[in-house]
Amino acid sequence: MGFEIIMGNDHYQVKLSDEPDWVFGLQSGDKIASVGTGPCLVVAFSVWSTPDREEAYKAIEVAKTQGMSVRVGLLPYDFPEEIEAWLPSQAERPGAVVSESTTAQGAVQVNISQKEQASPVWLAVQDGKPFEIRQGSLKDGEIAALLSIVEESAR
Amino acid sequence: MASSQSLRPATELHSCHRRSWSCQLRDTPLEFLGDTNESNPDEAALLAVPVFYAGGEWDAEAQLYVMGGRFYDPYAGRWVTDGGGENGYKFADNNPVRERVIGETVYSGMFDDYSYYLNPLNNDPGVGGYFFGAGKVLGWTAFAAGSAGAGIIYGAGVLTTAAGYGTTTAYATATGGAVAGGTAAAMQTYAANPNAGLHEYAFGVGLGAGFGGLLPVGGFADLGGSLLGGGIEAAAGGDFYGNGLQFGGLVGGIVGGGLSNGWRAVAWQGGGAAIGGGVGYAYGGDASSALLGANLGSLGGGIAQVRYQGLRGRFDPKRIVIDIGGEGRHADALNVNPFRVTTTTGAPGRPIPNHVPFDGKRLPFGDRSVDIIHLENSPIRPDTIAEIKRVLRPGGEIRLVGPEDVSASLHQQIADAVGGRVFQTTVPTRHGVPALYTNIIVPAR
Repeated sequence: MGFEIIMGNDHYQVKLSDEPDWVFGLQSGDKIASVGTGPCLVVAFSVWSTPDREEAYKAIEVAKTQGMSVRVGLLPYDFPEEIEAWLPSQAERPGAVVSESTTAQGAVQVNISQKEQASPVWLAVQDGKPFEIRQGSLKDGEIAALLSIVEESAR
Repeated sequence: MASSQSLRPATELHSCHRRSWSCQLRDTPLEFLGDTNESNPDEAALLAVPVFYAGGEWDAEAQLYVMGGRFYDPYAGRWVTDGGGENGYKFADNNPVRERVIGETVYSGMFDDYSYYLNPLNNDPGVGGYFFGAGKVLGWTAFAAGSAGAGIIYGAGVLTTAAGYGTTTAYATATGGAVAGGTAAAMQTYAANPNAGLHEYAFGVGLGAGFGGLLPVGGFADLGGSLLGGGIEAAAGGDFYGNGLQFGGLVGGIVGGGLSNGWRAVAWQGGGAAIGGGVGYAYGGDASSALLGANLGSLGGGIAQVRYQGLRGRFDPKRIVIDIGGEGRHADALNVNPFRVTTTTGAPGRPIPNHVPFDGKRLPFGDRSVDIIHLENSPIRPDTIAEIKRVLRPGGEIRLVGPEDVSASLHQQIADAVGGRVFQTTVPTRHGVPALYTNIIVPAR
C-alpha cells in the first residue's frame, strides 16, 4: 500500500503499490487534462516535503475509510510553478480569497481560500476544470468534506 | 499535567470564520472571550488580543498554547518547560507589556535594551566591537545631539558578518543651539559582505539654518550636505568600487552633490547633512554606522546615545545555527526563508521568527561561518549545495530531513560536497511515509 516517487523522463512520477484503481498517479508537469473527464480530487504535493506526502496518504486513507467512490489523483511537483497551470487564472491564485461563479454547466462556484504558498494544493476537478481549491494541511474531516463535494458533483 | 487538566471544564473553541485565517478568534477558547459577540469580529478581535499575545496556537486537548518548541500554560501563566536562564518558566520575563515573545520560538521573548552615552568626539570602539563581533546585533539605534540646528539621521540596513545576521537601524539627531554650526553627522554605511548584493542608497536633506560651524564637514563634497545648511542632496546606486553617482542639489547651501568615489559609493558618502543640522537617511548600514553617525552627530558639542536592541536568550554568538526553509522549529536557528509567514509549522500565517529573508540558493552568511545547518523538507538545488559548502564552518554539522525516495541522492550529494562522516536513519511517519534523516559531521580542519 502506498506510493513512492520515482524520476523518469526528467519528471517526477508517482509509483503506486497495491492501491485501488480509483487512485491514480500523475507526473510533474502534467496538464490538467491528464485527469480525464468526470470528477476527481487531485492532491498536488511537493516531492521534497514529508508533510506534503503525509497529506497525500491521508487523502487516500480518508477516502478508503469513508467508502467513497471518488477518484483521487496524486500530482507531484518540484517547483511550485509546475502547478500554476492547474489553477484557474492568475487573478484567482491562492492567497487571494476568491469566490465567484463560473459559467457553463452547473454554474459551479470557484472557491479559493487559505493562504498563499501553503501546500499541498487540493483541487476538486470536474471535466478538466478545478471548481474547489484548498491549500495546506487539512484535517480528516475537511478532506472528507472535500471528497463529498467531488462525489456530489458527479450527480 | 494530568491532575491539573482534570480540574478544568470542557473547553469550547470559538469557531466563527473557521475557514478564514484572518479571524483572530479562530480556535480561541470561548472562556477566554467572555461575552463575545460573534457577529462583530472587530469587537471580538479586540477582546481576543490578550489571548493571542505572541500568536500561540491553542491545543484543546492539552489545554496549552503551542508556541513552536514550547508549550505555554495560560492557567498557570508560565511555560511548562524550562527555557533556560534564571527562571526559564517565566513568560516574557513576567513583563509582557514591555517584553515580547518573538514569533513562536522558545525565546522567552526578550529584547535586551542597552543604552550607552558616548563621549563626544570619542567613537567608543569597545561598544561597537563588543556587539558587532558578537553576532548578537539585530538592531541598532543611535541618537546624537549636536549643538546647533536640528535634524535627524536615520539609517537602516542589513548586517551580514561572519558572526551573525540582522538588521541595523541607526538614528542620529542633532539638536541644540548653544554653539553655532553643529554637525548633524554624515553616516558611514557599507555592507560588510558585498556578495550579499544589498542595495544601498542614501540621501540627505539639510534643513534649518547653519551659521558656520566649528567643523566645516559640509564643505567636503564627499560627505555631502551643505556648508551652511539648507542643502538637499541625494545619492543612489553604487557598487563596491564606487561607481555610483551621487547627485544632489544644493538648495541654499554652498557645497553639495558631486561624483562619489569610494566604497559602496553613496552609502559611503552617506546621507549626511552638514552644518546647522539636517535630516539624513542612509540605508545599508551596520552597527558601526550607528556608532559613527552618533559620534559625528555629537561633534558639535552635543551628546550621543547609542541604543542597542538585540536578542538574548539562546542566541549563542559563538554558535551560528541556520535553518534553510525553516519556520521556527529550531529555537536557536536563524530561519532562512523567502516567505515571511509560516506555511507548515504550527498554524499557517504566523510570522517566522528570527527571519532571514533569503533562500537556500543564496545564503547571506560569510564563508565558513555557520556551525549547524538544518534543511528539512525543503528543496535542495545545486546552488543550495554550493552555498551549504561555502558557509559551513570546519567542524560544523548538517542535519537533513526529507522523503527517502527523493532525498537520498540529494543528501548524498551534499555529503560528497562537504565531506565528513554521514549518519542516516529512516523513520516512517504516522501515515507511513519513509522520512530520511541524514546527519553530516564535517571534520575540523
